[in-house]
Amino acid sequence: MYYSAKYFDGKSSRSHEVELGNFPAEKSLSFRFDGRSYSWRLDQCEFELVHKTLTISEVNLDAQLIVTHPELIKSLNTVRHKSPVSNLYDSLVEAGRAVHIGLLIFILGIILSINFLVLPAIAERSVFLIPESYDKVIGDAFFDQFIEEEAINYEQTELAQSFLDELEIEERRYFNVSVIESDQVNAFALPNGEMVIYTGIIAKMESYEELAALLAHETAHITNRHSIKMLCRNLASYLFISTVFSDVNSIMSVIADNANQLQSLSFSRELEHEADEDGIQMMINNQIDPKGMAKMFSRLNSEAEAYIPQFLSSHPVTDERIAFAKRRAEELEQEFSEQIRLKELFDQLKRTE
Amino acid sequence: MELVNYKEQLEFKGKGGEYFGIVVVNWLLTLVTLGFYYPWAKAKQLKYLYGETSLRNDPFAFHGTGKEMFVGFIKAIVVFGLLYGLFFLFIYLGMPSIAILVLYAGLIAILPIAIHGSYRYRMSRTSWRGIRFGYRGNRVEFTKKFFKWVFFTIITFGFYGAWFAINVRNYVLSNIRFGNLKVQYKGNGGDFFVMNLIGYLLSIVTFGIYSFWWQKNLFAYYVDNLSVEDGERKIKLKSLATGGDFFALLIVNMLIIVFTFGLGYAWVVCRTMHFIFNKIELTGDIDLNRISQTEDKFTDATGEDIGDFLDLDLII
Repeated sequence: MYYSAKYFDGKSSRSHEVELGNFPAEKSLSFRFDGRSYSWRLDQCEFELVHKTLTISEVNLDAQLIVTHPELIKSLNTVRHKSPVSNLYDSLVEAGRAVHIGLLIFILGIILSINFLVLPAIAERSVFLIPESYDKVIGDAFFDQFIEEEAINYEQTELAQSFLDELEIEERRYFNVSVIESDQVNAFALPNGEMVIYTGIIAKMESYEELAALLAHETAHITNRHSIKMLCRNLASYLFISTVFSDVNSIMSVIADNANQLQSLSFSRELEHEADEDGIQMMINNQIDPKGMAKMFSRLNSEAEAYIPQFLSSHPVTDERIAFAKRRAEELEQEFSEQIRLKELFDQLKRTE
Repeated sequence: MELVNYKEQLEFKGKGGEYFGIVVVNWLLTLVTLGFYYPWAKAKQLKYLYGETSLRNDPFAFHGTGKEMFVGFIKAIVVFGLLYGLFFLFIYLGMPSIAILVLYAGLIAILPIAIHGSYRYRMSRTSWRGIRFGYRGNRVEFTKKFFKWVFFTIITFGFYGAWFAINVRNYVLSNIRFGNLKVQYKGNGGDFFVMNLIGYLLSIVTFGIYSFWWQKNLFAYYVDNLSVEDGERKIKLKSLATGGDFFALLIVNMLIIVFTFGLGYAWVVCRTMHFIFNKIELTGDIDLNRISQTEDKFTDATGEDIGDFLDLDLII
């Protein structure tokens, strides 16, 4: 049995037709060219199959044979696939559209589940690797830049700070609060212990318990290092996605982006829950009625029907969270006496509006 | 023997569906090997794209292997690791401006070496009818020139950029050999600058519609200045693409990418390859049966992979 093939001698680009002969015991390829007989040992050959064309190169020569005969290509398959891996590769590539689409769905499934299930957990747990001094560096950098462009309400800041100082917080870290002149219904906490409250959110509050709830909630975000956790999480996710889609360049820009948007960094549902729980505990420790938490949330939530206050976009309040705050307060069956000093400070705060 | 001028065309026969099969299997293997399969994946993809490109019915071939490129890949990781290591070291030491300076200086210093290495490797592993391509640029000479052009570009606030791009192209492409044939690129920074200036202004005025004709001019500028020489004999390349052709190509490519969320990538690559080769006409009198082997084999793939990290696309 003879198969026709193209032969290139590796010296010039001239194409020659040759007849490939039976290869004894599948050990070699033989052909005649220019009056001479050639025999290439198959273990000295490299094979390259692209689509339906097989290129055979003799490693010691520059010469090549190009074969298109399907039968010959098939009969060389066993020689070509030195390892089962390369065999598997070819069968997967040739497996057809349905298999490929199946593979694609499988790949996407893996990517998505790593991104949404595995990574966040790892990222949040690896927060302890980042020294706490980093919280201060990143918070300071943001705060200095932020505060420069905002109008501080000094009178309210002083009263809010006194209010905060009255609260017992189980953490040595120093907490600072600033009140910013703005209609935005917003407040946020920075990892360095700085809290920013907008006059807009104070205007919406009707009792000192609500302010205490807001501060308790925000301090819980700080003490639990939620901002840093979210930074790690977003970064991990971005690192992963951009590595998968090989887009290394934009990784740096995400670090910068996230650091610039500390105030609108959206916390995950679990982190919000943790902050609510710790906040409520802190209120109880301070003899403040934790119903304030639920009250503050429902007030913000009812406002949300008309427009979404900024506070909600970064701290999404769900009915679930309101229900949780209510339930926790009711479970207590504890009477809370009025905190006269806090009430006084809150009333003063309201009078300055 | 006197040869009459002939017209010739490169042909790309690849199909999106076939290429998709390769791409998907590569994605899978790259994912399960945590990225280490990448060089092998790249080799497979290049082999397909080269193998489906043919001249006079004989395919081009890419002989690079995953193993060669893996070594290059590791070297590239080390180079970038060192560079980013230095960057973060200076950040840690509280010297962010020095950190940024070091990073950019490092990246600029790597660029010419990456371009050189990438061409040297890629060309030496490319062949047609058993005749190898080759790159004869000199690394030291190219690096010196490159820095000079970078310097001019910086002191002219970027205006020299057009000359910079064309100088690189002139140098690199004119150092390509295909057997005993010599590739020539003769571009001019001034022409390129004017073309881009007009293209930019008209694109703004026409709300982007002109950009397809700008693209057509760029393509023609890249192709028409390219030729292959063998002493007195020559093959000239000529672009046949029109602005309308580019409009159709790019709009459909964009629609495919958008509506398949990027998964139609394989089809876009094949359509584009098909378009490019279909729109280039070769005219000349070089005897394609008498090209002789002149270039050495070369197997260091470091430049190739540094090029990937920097997102450098080969300039052909």
